[in-house]
Parts: sequence; C-alpha cells; structure tokens
Amino acid sequence: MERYEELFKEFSRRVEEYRSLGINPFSLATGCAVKVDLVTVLYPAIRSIKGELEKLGMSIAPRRDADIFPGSIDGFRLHREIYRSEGDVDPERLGKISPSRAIVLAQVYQRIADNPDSLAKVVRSIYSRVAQASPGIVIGKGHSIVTADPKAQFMLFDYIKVERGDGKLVVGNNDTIQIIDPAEDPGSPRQAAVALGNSLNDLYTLGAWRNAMIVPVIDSPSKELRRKIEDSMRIYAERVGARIVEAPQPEAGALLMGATVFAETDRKPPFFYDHVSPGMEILVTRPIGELASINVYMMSMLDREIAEELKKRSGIDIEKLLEIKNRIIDAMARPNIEIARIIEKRLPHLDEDYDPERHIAATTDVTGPGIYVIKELAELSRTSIRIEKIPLLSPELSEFATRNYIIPNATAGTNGAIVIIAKPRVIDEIEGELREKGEEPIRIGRVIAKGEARVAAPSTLKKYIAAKAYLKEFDLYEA
Amino acid sequence: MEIGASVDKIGEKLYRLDARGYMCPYPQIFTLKAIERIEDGAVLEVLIDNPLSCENVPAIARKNGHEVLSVEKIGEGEYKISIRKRRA
Repeated sequence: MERYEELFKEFSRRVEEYRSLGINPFSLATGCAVKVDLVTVLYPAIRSIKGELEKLGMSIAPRRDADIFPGSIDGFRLHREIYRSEGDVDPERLGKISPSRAIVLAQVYQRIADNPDSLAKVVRSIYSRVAQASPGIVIGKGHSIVTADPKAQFMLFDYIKVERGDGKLVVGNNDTIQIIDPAEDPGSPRQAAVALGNSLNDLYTLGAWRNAMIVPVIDSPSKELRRKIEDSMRIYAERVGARIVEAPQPEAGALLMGATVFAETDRKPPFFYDHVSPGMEILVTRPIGELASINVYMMSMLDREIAEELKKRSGIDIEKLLEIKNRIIDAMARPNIEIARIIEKRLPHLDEDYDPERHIAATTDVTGPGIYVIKELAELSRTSIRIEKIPLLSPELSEFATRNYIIPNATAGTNGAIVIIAKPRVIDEIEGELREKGEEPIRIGRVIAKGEARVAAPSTLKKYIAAKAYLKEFDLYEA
Repeated sequence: MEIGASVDKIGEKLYRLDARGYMCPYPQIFTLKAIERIEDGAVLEVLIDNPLSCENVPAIARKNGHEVLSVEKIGEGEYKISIRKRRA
C-alpha cells in the first residue's frame, strides 16, 4: 500500500489547496448529485404551487430535458437577473424587458431542500413576484440544486425575449455542477469540460447543436480561480464550435460552474411519445454510472479501510481505482456532439411528419436519476418497458458504492449516455454509426406494451440502487 | 492531516459529531470514523443537515452492527441521529 500513501499525500495536498481558497471539498457534491431530489422534493413542491402561479399568468413547462421555442439564435434577446429574495425582483425593470419565457437556475440551501413545503415557500415568493411583473411568462426549464452554504442561495433567471421566428426552433437549457472531481484542481480543463458538456448534453439529446451559444454560470471564491474556469470554458467552447456570451454572475463566493446554453434546429424534437410502440428498442450510447467511481475514490482516500475492503471484495486496488476514475472522467469530459449529429439525421424536418421507419421516437439523457430516466420515458409514452441489461461503466464500483451507502443511486451520471427509442432498423443504423465514432452503444431493452407506464428490470438493479424511492418504481424480475 | 468533522465528548459515554454543512456521502464516512474513536457501548449523536445522509447514516451504522437509537428532527432540515456503538 505504498502507492496508497503517495496518493493520500497528493489528495491531502489537494484538500489543503481547496481549503486555502475557502472551499471545503466535502461540502461540495460531485456532479449531478447536487440536484434537489426530484421524486421526493422538487416535483411535489412544483405541483403544490403550479396552480397558484398559473392564476398569476405564469406557466411552468412540464419536466423535460430542455426548453424549446420558435426562433433562432440571432432572433432573441437574453437578459440575466439574479435574485436572493423577492425584494430583488424589480417589476418596473422586468416590465421593460418584457420577457416571454425564462430559464431558471435555483441554488437552494440544503436544509430548505429537505422537504417540498420549505422549498415551495422559497420558490413561490420569487416566482409570484416575477409572474406579477411579467404576465404570460413561461418557465421553460428550471434547474434546482442544493448548496451546503446558506449564503450561496440564489435564483438566476435567464429571461428570453423572442424578436423574430426565422422558421426554426431554439433549444435552451441550464445545468451546473459544483465540482466533478474534488481530487483534481477545481480550475482544470476537465472540470469545466464536464460542466459545459453536461449543460449541452440536454440539447444534444434533442439533436440540437447548430449555432450553439454558451452563457456561463460561474461562482468562485477567488478571481484567479474564476479566470481559470473561464479560460477552460473558452477552450471547450471552441472545441464544440460554440460562442460564449457574457452575463452577470451570482458572486456568492462558493464554487459553481455550468451554463445556460442554446442551439438551434430545423428538426422536430424527438417527443413522439404517442408513437412509442411495442417492438421498439432502447439503446444507450455508452455505459452509465459515472458518479460511483468518483465517490468511491473519495471515500477510499478518506478511509484506507474502504480501499482495503474494495480490493478484498472486487480485486480493485487503489491504482486500478484511480485508473477507472480517470477513464470515466475523460469520458464525461468528451462532448456528445457527434451523437447529436447522429440524432439530428433521424428527426423529421419541421414541415415533415414523423415516420417510425426512419425517425427516432424519443430520447433522454442519463444524469442524476440514472436508470430511473427509463421510467420517466415509460410515463411520457404510456408504455411498458422491459430492461434486459443494466450497462454500467464499472459494475463492481457501482455495487460497492451501493453496498456501502456511498451514493443512493449508483447508476447516476453527469454528461452521461443518451437513451434512444426507435424501431429496430433505425436502432441498427444508429448503433453502427456510434461504433464508427468510437462510442460503445448497448441495446438495453424494448417496449413491450402500450397503456400502463411500467418498467421491468433485472433484480440485480438492487445491487446498484440503495434509494427505495427509486427502486420501488421498477418491477424487478429474476433474470 | 485531520480530514472531516470533529468528535466532542459531551457526557459520560456520550459523544457528538457535528457533520452539518457536509454533503452526502461524507457524513456517512465521518460517522464510521467517529464510532471507531469512541468506547464500546458509548452513544454517538450525529448532527446532519443533508437530506440524503438522513437515510444513509442510519443505514450504514446498522450495516456495521451498531444500534440506531433514534433519528430526530431538531430544526428545519436539521437532524440528530443517535447511535450506540456495538460491543466487541
């Protein structure tokens, strides 16, 4: 275990670096784990205030991967405002902006994100004020995350005023992370790449990648670190052919990186849920479960006994664990833009009808909820789905993370795989093209009936999900 | 290097670990490390304010053979989990 000592020294040095910046790395969540719990907190909170806000003229779009509206990248104006309380909402200013929609990032103190009522109270106060000042506004996409720092609570509204249509659609999204790998420099290109890749992934999932625009969201305890993150973001933007647009930042002094992103498309988004039918297959563009490896590595550094138990149980020593973690982070840092192009080719043009023989019926990306996104697809399409394979990047680490309560859902990811539902012939073509691009696609299951939203999954899923709220959503069967 | 939350003795065979402000999964590991440092049969009170850890701290304590005496809500989003260390 001499290597362990070396890595522990390196890890301790990194922890000290974070601390010298005023950041406690153990107060940061890795990747999408930072989201407010969707099933038990966020959805019930939104449901409880939706009717009230609708009476004020605000509508909240149903949960989906991104906001979509008619327009073009050059045909809308963006205005960012950041609120810490309802008093920060200036009705006069908002009246002048006259936005038709908004993409919202809410960073909420974790004690408030504990239950739907306290979350609803915070959201209601600011949303009501915005609704009164901008009647008819649509919240096209909301992203809610938690922070361990009460001073870092804020709501960021990216207001959109569409000025002309141009016969296309604009797809927009916001996503952020606090950190992806606390054992690495917070300003490293890989951290920013995962953050921006994760934001763009929701657009790519819908086949939208053209004329991409990135409006960064960066919070940092120091100017120097902020500059490093900005530089890393610029490099990434060039890599994916996107332009960066500057906007106000939260200035809360905590660590946060991500962006509101936009791209345009002349295709219909893959929301053909009514056409999802028995016989269609489900493909994931690569294995899932990215967050397990990072968290197991962190825990192994904090407690040598965990590293020893991992070696005893699965034969993975600390060197191998480091190698797996780095390989997975590299995969997360790789943009899914080629997958977006493959999806785009199989979507109908805006003036064309959906053709099940040529087109993709539905897509989503595998992020915080992990394999649970299949249940969401089943609900949207009112179908029964049978999952035959649970393709994990490292089944050993996902199982270890679950057994040791390291993460509640070891199928979760960030900038993860994209799930595609289509007829087998379309899936054949996609699978072939993905392999040519160096991806590792897997056909994980199929649609078996229309009507009731159910997902059957192998009982081995219990080895990878500890959270009962998620597990109970599946009909487990013995393989 | 000391990593993680500190454990304080607050009474006879009674200790407290303040893991508030930490994100999941760190309170779990800090709890196990704290239990290692107290005597058999002693009680550790773990303070947390992370919703996920509220489920996972008791679960990992039980998995390791310790007795979870109670999980109490002590404030908005704040919990106290009392765990008795198993006797060897």
